[in-house]
Amino acid sequence: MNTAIPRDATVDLARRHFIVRCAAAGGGLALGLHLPLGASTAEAAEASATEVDLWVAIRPDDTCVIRIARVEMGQGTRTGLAQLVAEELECDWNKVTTEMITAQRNYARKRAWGNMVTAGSRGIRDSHDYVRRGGAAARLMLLQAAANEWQLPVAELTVANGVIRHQASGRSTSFGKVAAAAAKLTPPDPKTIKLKSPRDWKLITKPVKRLDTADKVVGKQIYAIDLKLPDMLNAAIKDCPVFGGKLVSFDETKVKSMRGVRGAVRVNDSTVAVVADTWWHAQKALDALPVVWDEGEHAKVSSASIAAHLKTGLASDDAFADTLVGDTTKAIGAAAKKVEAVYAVPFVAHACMEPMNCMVKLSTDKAEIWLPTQNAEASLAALSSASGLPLEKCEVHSMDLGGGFGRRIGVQDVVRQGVAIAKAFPGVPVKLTWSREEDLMHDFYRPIAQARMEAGVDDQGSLVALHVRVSGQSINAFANPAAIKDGKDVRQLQGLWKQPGDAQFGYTVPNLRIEYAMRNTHLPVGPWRGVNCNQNGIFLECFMDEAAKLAGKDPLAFRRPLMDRHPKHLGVLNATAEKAGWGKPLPRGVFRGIAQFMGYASYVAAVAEVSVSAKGEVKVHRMVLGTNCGHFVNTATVAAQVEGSVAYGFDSLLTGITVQNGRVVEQNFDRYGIARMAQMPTIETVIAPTHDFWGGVGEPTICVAVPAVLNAIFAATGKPVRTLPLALSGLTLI
Amino acid sequence: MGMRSRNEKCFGACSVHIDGEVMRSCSIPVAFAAGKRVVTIEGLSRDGSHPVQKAWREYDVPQCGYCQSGQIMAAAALLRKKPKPSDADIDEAMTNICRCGTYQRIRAAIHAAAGTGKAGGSVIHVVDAGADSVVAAIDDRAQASASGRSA
Repeated sequence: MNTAIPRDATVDLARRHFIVRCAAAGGGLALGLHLPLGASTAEAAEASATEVDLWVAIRPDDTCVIRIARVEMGQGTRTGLAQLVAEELECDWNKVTTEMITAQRNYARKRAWGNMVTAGSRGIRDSHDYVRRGGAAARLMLLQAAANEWQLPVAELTVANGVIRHQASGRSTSFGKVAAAAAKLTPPDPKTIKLKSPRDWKLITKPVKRLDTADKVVGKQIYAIDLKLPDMLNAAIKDCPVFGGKLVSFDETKVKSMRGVRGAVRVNDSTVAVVADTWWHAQKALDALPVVWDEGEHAKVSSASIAAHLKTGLASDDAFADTLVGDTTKAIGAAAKKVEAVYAVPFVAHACMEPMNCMVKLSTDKAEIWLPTQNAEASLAALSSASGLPLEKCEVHSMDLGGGFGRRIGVQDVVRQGVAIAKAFPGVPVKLTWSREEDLMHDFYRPIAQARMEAGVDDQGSLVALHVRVSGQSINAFANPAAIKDGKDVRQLQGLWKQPGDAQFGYTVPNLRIEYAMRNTHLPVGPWRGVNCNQNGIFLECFMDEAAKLAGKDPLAFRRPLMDRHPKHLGVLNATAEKAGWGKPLPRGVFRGIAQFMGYASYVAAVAEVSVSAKGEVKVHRMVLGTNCGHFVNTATVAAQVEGSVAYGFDSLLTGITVQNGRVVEQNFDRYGIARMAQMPTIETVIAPTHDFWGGVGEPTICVAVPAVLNAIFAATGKPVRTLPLALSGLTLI
Repeated sequence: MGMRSRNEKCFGACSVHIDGEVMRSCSIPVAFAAGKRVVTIEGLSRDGSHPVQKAWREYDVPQCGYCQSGQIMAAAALLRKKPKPSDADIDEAMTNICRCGTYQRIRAAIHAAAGTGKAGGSVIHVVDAGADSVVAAIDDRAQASASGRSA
């Protein structure tokens, strides 16, 4: 089955060592193929395509190569960005292909392709304008080239599907024929380009098929973990199981003679790796390697001690108030009815399906890395600083990711580890692959948090006062302390901000206090799909249902009057409630829950239909989830992200990371539960656009999916769910 | 033969067919497969023409795609045993983990491949917010960027 002899890389399509071993035994399962891996192949691709402008290159056969500067990790951005460019380019969508811009190329051209980070639901909303202008500029240049050739005024030409016509003379040409001439023209000033009105969009908003599906259903999609390079070695890694601990020593002599082993490497002051011919040999030897750790000062920390630490932040004096309206203490004291509740959510791990990995090849004048990354520019910088080579001599081959979810953005831990290991084997490619245990034990977790919530309602059942006190770990304190201004870490209150535009609190309450007390732990934390909107959405929206019950009101009817001044929040809530049939009869034993929130510049809402058995078995039957992301590019992709948000949110209902003796307890999927097919409800997506802004899609919905389910459980049982995962509240998801 | 029962730590991305049964290759020693017919995703069809692969394309099932080879192998094995599976059959057979959450489309694609006639897939309501709201202005109008307030 070997169909090609690769020039600079062999890729084994077989997924796991079992298959690789069969192939080695003559099973013939390995299939080699060409890959756009090195600069040489990128240049070859370039040679056949003419660059019209930054975003568009065209081949003589009319193929339009649309450049993409954001990675594809399943969220559909590659297809969406191509749609945006193609809309203005007026090319034949069936002749579109895409090309990833590398970090080195972007660096060499002074970041002409802009920011490459793929996170924060920003793939489309941050680049829609300049990529559309890029498509439009290319179209204008191609038209001008045809006009020049025919010596006609450009205004007399029309273009559609990559074909340029002159109606009067009947002449026509195609993009492929005029691309070379167009490339010689001076591109128009992007600012002078008039983009199409949304009314005239033909591709944008349409559910065109994803460009990456075909390879993914026949096993041709290559992830970094699948790569093989000639003479490569494999590395397995172990970081001190207790965060903050140190690697004292290891005895390489005990494993040196094991099969395939080339050596053990001190990676950094807390990490050791074993390098061998295969990953399995490396991991076996690593498991057998005698290692002495200094577990350090955190070796006695447990989930109980962390919870106690966070609890001190629920009533302490060190919190800062980001929102302060009226006097909540006084108003709650004087309220006809009051309710107080403490909520708690655990650390949560990303658990990307593709474990953390990278391949590094170092020589005296070149450093190369192949990896899944959400920020290839950060990977480039880390490669440069770790290898000691200047940026010009570094190359990042960013492969499509087997999941990202925030894990592979800023902290380039794997890059530094990979380089440290590869330094011991100059000129030899070394692939570092983390075990699942390492992945779950050394993640940058969604921050643990608690919240004390207090509300007062008047005798009319209106909310007159709300006090939100969040206590928990800060992402910025761990990852970016400079972002904390005057000791006020507003990021932890994401989704509760008074400022419009990104993650605004959606209610008007006469007495309102929203504050945060920082309580850090020794665990590393970071962004996890939806980031702080996750826990803040749970705290706020579940407590709103507690307040509604106190007021004796229907949860939707209770919220509506509080949202008059937030019409977009209210709009999507109403649209979702309507499609869900809020208030209409349900089968016996089935109850609804509702939630709304804002994140990543989009307004979202959800309704869940749930039944709960006497044994606490929760079955989610149906969910209706609405989003107003302003403009949308592809309805099918929006729906996929909404459906995915439900599943990812459900994982956080099911599971959490706990700590014992300073280390993570859940080390694999036997203890870290992931939602499976049978647990998923029927999901309906409501797209309720107002067409006047660009919001994110990948993350916002997760922040309502979970509270809607919890509120439905509350409706079913009469008992609020204040502690996650569900098991801690005596519930299971079936 | 050293066979383990279902490996709880495995998520199924490595699923292959061994003599027609779907198995998770990470949990199977090579000796077990010796002399048996091993089929990977590449062997299901050379050109993606297997009914399951066709249905996967029709429903644009994959997101990141990492688990999808295993999902497709599990679905193909299910259909060989139960050509017209019910939702309960699908729930029981399809235990592979997908972290992107493609489950709804997987279910729909299995029904489509099997020709059960059960409709499914994404349910999408686009609520017309009124023609007036389809404004010509493309620029962000409400995007007041709040310093320090980003995710």
